[in-house]
Amino acid sequence: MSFRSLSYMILACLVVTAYACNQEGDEGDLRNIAYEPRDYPLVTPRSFGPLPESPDNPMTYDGVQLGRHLFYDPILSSDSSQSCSSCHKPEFAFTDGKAFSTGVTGQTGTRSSMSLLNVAYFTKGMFWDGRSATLETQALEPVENPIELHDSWPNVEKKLRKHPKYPELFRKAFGISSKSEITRDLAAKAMAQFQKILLTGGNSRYVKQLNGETFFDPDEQDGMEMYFNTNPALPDAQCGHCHTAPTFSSSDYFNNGLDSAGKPEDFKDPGRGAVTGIPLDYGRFKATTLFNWHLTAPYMHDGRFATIEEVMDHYTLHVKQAPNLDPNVANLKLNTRQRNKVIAFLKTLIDTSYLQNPDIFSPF
Amino acid sequence: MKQGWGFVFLLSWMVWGCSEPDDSSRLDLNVFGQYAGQPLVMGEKYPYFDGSEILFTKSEFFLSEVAVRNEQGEWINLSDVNFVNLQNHHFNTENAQKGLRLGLGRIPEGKYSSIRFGIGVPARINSKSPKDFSASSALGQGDHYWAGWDSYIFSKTEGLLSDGMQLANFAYHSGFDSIYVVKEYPISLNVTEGNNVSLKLILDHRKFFGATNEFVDIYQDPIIHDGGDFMTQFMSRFNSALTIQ
Repeated sequence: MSFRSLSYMILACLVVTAYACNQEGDEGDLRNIAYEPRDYPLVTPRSFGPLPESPDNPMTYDGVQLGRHLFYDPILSSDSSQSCSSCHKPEFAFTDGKAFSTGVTGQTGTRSSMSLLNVAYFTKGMFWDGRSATLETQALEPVENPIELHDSWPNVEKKLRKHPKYPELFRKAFGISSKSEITRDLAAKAMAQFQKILLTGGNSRYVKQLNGETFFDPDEQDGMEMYFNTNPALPDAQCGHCHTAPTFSSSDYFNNGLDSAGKPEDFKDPGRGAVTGIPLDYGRFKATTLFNWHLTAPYMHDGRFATIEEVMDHYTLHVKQAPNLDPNVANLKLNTRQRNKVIAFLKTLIDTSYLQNPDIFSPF
Repeated sequence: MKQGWGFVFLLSWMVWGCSEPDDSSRLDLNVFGQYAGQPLVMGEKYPYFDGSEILFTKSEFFLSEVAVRNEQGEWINLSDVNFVNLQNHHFNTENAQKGLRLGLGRIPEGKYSSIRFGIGVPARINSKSPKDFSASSALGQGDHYWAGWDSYIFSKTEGLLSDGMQLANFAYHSGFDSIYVVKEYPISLNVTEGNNVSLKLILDHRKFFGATNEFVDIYQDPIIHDGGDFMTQFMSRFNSALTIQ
């Protein structure tokens, strides 16, 4: 082979390699794909107010769809075996039915997978301890958590840029011009948009009763009056102080008497205290929504109670003292019949109509 | 090039010309939670009237319809509804001594002799509920509304009392239109152009519970259940525990 022939062959190889890199690499031009953002047709539960404003991340149809893909795609995990949906399943109100979830390495965490229903209404932080301020920052965490998806964002960004479908989805969602603009922040924004459509409650019997569309039976009525303490003839069940209407949750954090503690450091799980460093925040956790509680067992941040009856037993018989014990759970005096009436009312908070929204399920 | 500089000059002039100069001043209210005249630190123990020790875990309230009266006797409205949360601020002595700053907005130049506000929310707001507001605002959060009362919770005072033998976790919440009172406090405020001013609001939590000769038996009544006399008296003392400097 002459020198000239060899040179031509090397040149041809370089051209082919450069072309291939351009096709599969990070710099692919996406401007030939239409970017036509349109609002997502979000319907909030009719008893709720508007979602908290999010000017930095307006919801669009394609943003939600991208978030949906990412939520269900194991591409976010180091060995492509798990996705967000591994621990947040629609049929379990976006929990996983376990006390502790197992990550890609086989490790289990120390807190239960939290329901994602109505998380869009949390305004004082995400997770059981509020360590992420917003859904957008929350969505960044599980990818790099070694007991969850155990990948790294640089690696995930690389995988997304090289993926045959994601560049187009990012383009449609955010109008990016090239694959190199696919970032963790955009991925997190899309997943936040998806989580904002996970809403429930508007079709519960409770809301229908509020609107005069149904009536409670005597047990449900008594249960509601105890829940909200509106009947002096019935004991106060105090539930409504932490699981407040209309979302039947709270953005705040509470010590609900699960563990006794003489001082903050005594709590096995510091909860909110590890985030704020405020002594009274130790052992405090978020009060999640009671809508569809029947799908979220086991209960509490550590899944210690298997049934709702065990939960009621705790609040009426086994509350443990600590300086920051919420006073509303310290004084309950309900007999078995009254506890059952409260449970009868809680059953009016069941609303599985969210499962009729096709957008909440896996697109794969 | 000359045209380019001309354009920049024109743009700058337009931006400058379109901005209204704002020489008005800002009024802040510095809120100081206290107990018996001392800075109140959440979680710290203080002596109660009966020899027990009391500690506070929560102290929050709405402060509404803030207005100041000028030399001409006119009331200038400053802010509609504010939410004061002491537990997330007074968690150490340093913060409690500094006070919690609450911005009340812009105040025109002049001299002022009174300030008025109410603890809670006025009836026109209390007839609404969290679904009528964005969840981003305090009025849009269920934590501050008690559906059983159809009322916003005007104030929450929570904590623990113990004498070593007995123990009471107390929660005194208030609500209902009948409790809402706008009170006037004398001030001496001279606002000059462009200078921010502030007032001190001192809230002595010991006074919520009475005085040495007559005080709340917290062991007996650790929770407010309804809008009856107990709540009325508690909020009457709450309002009396407020001073403005």
